[in-house]
Amino acid sequence: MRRIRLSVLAVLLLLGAGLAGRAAAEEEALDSPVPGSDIAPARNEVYIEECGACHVAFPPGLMPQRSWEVIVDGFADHFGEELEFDDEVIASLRKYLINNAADRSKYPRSVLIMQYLRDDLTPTRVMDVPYIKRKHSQIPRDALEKNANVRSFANCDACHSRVEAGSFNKKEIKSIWSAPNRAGRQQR
Amino acid sequence: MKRIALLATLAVGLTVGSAGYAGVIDDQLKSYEAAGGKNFSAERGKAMWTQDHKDPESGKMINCATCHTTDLKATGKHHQTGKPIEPMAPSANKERFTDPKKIEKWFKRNCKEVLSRECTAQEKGDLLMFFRAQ
Repeated sequence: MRRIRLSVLAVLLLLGAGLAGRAAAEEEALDSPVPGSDIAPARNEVYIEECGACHVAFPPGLMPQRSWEVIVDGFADHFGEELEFDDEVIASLRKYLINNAADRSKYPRSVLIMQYLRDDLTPTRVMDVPYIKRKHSQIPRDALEKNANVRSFANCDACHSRVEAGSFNKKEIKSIWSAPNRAGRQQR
Repeated sequence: MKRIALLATLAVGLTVGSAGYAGVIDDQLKSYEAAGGKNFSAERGKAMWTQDHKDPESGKMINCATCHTTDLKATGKHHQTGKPIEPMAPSANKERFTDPKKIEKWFKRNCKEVLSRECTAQEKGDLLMFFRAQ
């Protein structure tokens, strides 16, 4: 009897370990070459200076190379803005963005972004990347755009407190809604 | 000896005082004078700051304060992306007006955004006088 009980216990323990291991593996799936980053952080000085002036310096790993090429080729009408850069600046930006694009990156979220992106799609807005769009699909656009703290889905760091570190972990999302919660109490 | 010491201190003081943003602004103003501007006025610059223009993209009326606010010591916010913009006032932001290239770059881009054209040398001079006093 004891032997059977021991073997049952052993099986249960193994099962438990297996399940725990799988859960841990899912967590670890988001471990990256740089601990605490799930996408390569934007680090290029020219990029941060020129592109990070009007909007957050989007980590290049958020979009594939072909998307960045469209952006760089389209500076004359950049979402309604006419941008003028020296040829060297353009060349420098193009090189950085292409070399660090999602399809060139081993960082976990870039890998996921490419997995969920059809070859015939070339998103030009980060929010049009299918993986990213799906992650935000529960957020009403109207409410977000009217929120004075956010204003736009391009304003990643209004909610994602560690964009600069290349981290988009759910736990790091700031509370941007000052509306009362369901119980009617004011939230801080 | 005392007079010489005094004059020396004054000379040094003036040189040091012209360094930083004030010196850069002075140089810019000289170039705007050469381009036909004169009697630059902070009052005119201030008036320009809140003068409304129609944004062809959104159809809304915008002015410089739309992004930079009317308080140049405050942090502004990009009217489309929501990105925070560091204060314009040199008293609140040591980086401002220390790089002539940047001054020209942002005049070009932002005058085009707000006025749908480049600012004239006169307008740029007036605006710099306004900024310098902040």
